[in-house]
Order: sequence, then C-alpha cells, then structure tokens
Amino acid sequence: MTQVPALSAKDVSKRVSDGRSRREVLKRISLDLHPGEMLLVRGPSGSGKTTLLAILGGMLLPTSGEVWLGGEAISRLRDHQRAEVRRAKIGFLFQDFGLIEGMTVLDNVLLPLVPPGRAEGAAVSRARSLLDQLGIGGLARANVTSLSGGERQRVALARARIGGPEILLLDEPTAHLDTSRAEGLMADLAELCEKGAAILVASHDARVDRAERIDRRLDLNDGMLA
Amino acid sequence: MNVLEPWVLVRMVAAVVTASLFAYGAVVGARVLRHAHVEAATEGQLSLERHFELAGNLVRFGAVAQLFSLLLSVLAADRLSGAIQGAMCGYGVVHQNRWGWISLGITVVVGLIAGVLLQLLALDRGVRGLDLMRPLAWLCIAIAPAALLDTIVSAAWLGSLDFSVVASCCSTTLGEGRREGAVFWQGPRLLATWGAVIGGGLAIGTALLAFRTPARGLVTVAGVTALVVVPFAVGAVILEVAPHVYEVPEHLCPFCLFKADAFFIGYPLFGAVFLAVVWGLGGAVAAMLSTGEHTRAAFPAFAQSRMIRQASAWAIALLIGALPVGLYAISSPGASLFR
Repeated sequence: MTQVPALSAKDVSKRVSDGRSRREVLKRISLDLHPGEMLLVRGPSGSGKTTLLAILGGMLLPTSGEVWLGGEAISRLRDHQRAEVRRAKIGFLFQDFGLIEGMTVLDNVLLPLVPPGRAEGAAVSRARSLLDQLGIGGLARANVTSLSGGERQRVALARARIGGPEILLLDEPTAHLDTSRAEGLMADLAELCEKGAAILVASHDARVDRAERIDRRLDLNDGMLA
Repeated sequence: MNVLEPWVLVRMVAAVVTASLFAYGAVVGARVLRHAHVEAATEGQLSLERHFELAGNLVRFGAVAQLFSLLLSVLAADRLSGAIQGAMCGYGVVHQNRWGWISLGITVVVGLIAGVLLQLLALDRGVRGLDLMRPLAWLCIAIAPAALLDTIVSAAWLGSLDFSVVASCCSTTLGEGRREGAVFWQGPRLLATWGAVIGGGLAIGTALLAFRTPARGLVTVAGVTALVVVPFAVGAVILEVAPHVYEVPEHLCPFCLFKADAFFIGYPLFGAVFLAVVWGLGGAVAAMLSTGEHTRAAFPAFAQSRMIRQASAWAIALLIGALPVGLYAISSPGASLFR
C-alpha cells in the first residue's frame, strides 16, 4: 500500500522500572496501519501486545520513539490534546473491558461521547443500534455488574465503536466469546474495514488468526517484532 | 525580624514558595536550552519534554503565587498599619523604611512578568508542538533571579519594620505638596485624568479591533497601548479618584483606597488595571513569539480571548474610577472638588 498510514509507530521502545531494575517491554517497534487494513499482532502472553496497543492508542507514552496519527505525532502531544485525538479518532477495546461498574450498559457505551458533549439524541439511537447488532439490545438498561464475560466484552466493543472511529485497537477481542460470536465479530470488523476503518487486533486466539479478512500478521515476541 | 507577625509570615512564605518554584523552572529551562533537540524522539529528549511539562505546571503555580504575593504585599501594608503608630493606611508601612517602595516596585514588576509568563503558558497549552519550548525556557530562567530579588527585598522591608516608632501618615507627606501648590497640581491631574480616559478608550478600541481581527500586529499594538496607558491610569487614580472618594482635594493617597471606608475600591480598581496590562502584554509578547507553524495556528483563538479580557478589564477600571467622580458630581450639583 502506498497511501498515508492512518497510524504509525516509529522506533517505539518502552522501558518500565520496578524501582530496582529496568526492563525493556517493547524494543524499537515500527509499524504502519493503513485505512481499510486489518492488522493482527500475534504473540504469547507477556510479549508486549497490550503495552503496544496502549501506546498506539495514546494511553501510554513511549520511552523513546513516536506514534503518528494522521500526520501528527500524538505521543508528543500534551495529555489533554492526546485525549481529544483519542476520543475523536480511536476506538479501544481493553482486554479487561474497562467498564464502569454500577452504570448501565447504555451509559457505559455512551461514555466516550460525554466529554465532547455528544452523548444525546442521535448518539443514544446509535448506541442502541450497536447493542442490537451485537445481540445485547435487550440489556441496554441492565447494570454491567449483572452481565456475563461475553456480554461485557460486547458492551466494551460497542463503546469502542460508538464515536465512529477511524482506527480500532482491539485487545484480545474474542477472548470471552464462543466460536459463532467470534466469527460474527470478525465479520463485523471486516465490514468496518471495507468502509475504510483501520483495525489492529492483538490476539493469540487461533480463531482470529484464521479469519480471511486479516491483511497482515505480525509476530511480537519478547517486545520485538519478528 | 518580624516573622511572627502573621502578615509578614504569610508574605514571606508566599515569596519563598514562588522563588523555589521559579528556581526549579530555571534549572529545567537551562537543561532545555542545553540539551533539547525537538526533532529527535530519543529517550533523553522525551524525558526532557516531560520534565519541562512538569516544570511548566509548577512555574504556572509559581506565577499565580507571585500575583498572590503582590496582593499580599498590599494587604500586609494595609493590615500592619494598625500596628504602627501614626500610620493611617498602608502608605505609612511602605514609607517607614527605605526598602518599602523598592520592594513594592519589584513585586509589581515581577508580578507583571509572572502574569505575562502565565499567558504564554496558557498559549503553550493550546499549541500542538514544541514551538514555545525555548522561549519559555528563557523566560523561566529570567524570572527566577527576579523572584529571588523580590524575596530578599520583601524580607528586608517587612523584617526591618519598626513597630515602636511613630510613622508618617499619608496626609502629612502626600497632601503637603498639594496644599502648597494647588495650581501646579491641576496640570498633572488633568493630564493624568484625560490621558487615562482617552488612553483607556484607545486601549479598549484597539483590543476590540484585535479581537475582531486577531492579527499579530494589531494584538501587539493593543498590548503596547495598554502598557502606555498605565502611568496615566495610576496618575488618575491618585490625583482624581482618591480625592473624590474622600471628597478632600488634598487626599492623594492610593493606599487609603484599600480601606473599608473607601469600600475597598482600590482592589478592583488597581486589579482591573493590572489585569488589563497583563492580558494586553501577554497578547503582545505571544504575538511576537508566534512565528512557528503550530503557534501561529493556536494564536488567533488565544489572542481573541486575551483581547476581549483586556477590553473588559479597561472598561471595568474606567467605570470604577468614574464612580466616585460621578457620585460627587451628583451630590454637589456640578461643583468641582478642586476649586
């Protein structure tokens, strides 16, 4: 592909410290994610997939290197500027869902639209439509604490998609889904890609690896891309 | 030393806190000037950027503390006047030793620099790049010694106040010349008053013009106009507003305006003038520094907010200043206070 990448990592490294020693979690990672592309990052637990996604999503800062989004180095923006970009352009599915306990499913889904003041009217209809699409439309008013793991995952996915992001970063999106749901999810993602969304999936689930729509596969081992 | 006097203690704590925060800002600023390579994304550069971000937040807090210190200087002078025999207002406290006026002057100047620094930090928060990193580093380095000097001179002033001697009251010093040369004072009074009215109007006009069209040149002109009007505004407060507040032509003390019997009019009046200059100068300095791509993009919105604030502050200052004059005109069917 020759078009401008939707998201790029340039020589991204991440070192963490436990107070006594420093450990390099990511080592000079460079990758491009183009519009309409679905990229799979494979790797065993502890290989750095979640850290990489957090850095690409602007939630974590690299120790060195840069993350570029739409011609702008978002890793060097200030916190509030990075948060604006993240809200506007990136949808993120956390491995542990990151839902707010005690809030309803609908409120959780609408949460990313609250700071920019867009959580009303059309957004509510869109949230309901997304929940219907994911097969949990009937749970809109339920408290998330009463949901199963698979249902929570789908709520988190609806929340990642509510703002119509250009980029979707999904951390183990099928971990709590049965096979038919997992295949349905991959089909939905393929449809989003057709519409121009750039999707990066971090997973070690073979069902994801088998999906035909995956354009490229990268292997992350011990913080390095193979 | 009088550090056990609550107002002295509070003022000195504010000064030390401010100087310490600015000192940290200066250290990080020096590191930025020596080591920063904005184009690089190395570990050292990114770490430096994060340190500078932290320093910027601390310096912001220090700048607010410096403005608070200015208020504290005035408050301390006013409140301590009750403890010094003969001092009827803050004038007696400031005038009691040779450091008082120097300290107040330095605090005002450092407060003004801190105010401008706050404006630049506000602009920097809206800039999506590191265009202002070096100018801010220079400013952090420049303000640190000024804040230290302010701390030392303030300590000299407040620490050497002698509560056992009889101080001069403002009326014995400031009213003297007035009584002896009533005709002479008419000239400066009229010049200051008309200068403040016309200059204030001009400052409002240029600020509104710059608000409408936030071009760098216009914003600079509005800022410089604000600075030029200050001596006239201060002169008008002393020579026109203060006598009208007390309905005594010889009453030329600005410190009396901070007292309860003057309805504390000095605080909003001087505060509005000070803020108008800070916003005006902040806009002007930002205009001069907005040469980079990212800063130029952020400048118009920033300039508009500062210009509308500047115009509002001048309008408030003019209204507050006109109030006692207007009230006197109503109560004395048009007769002049100065005849």
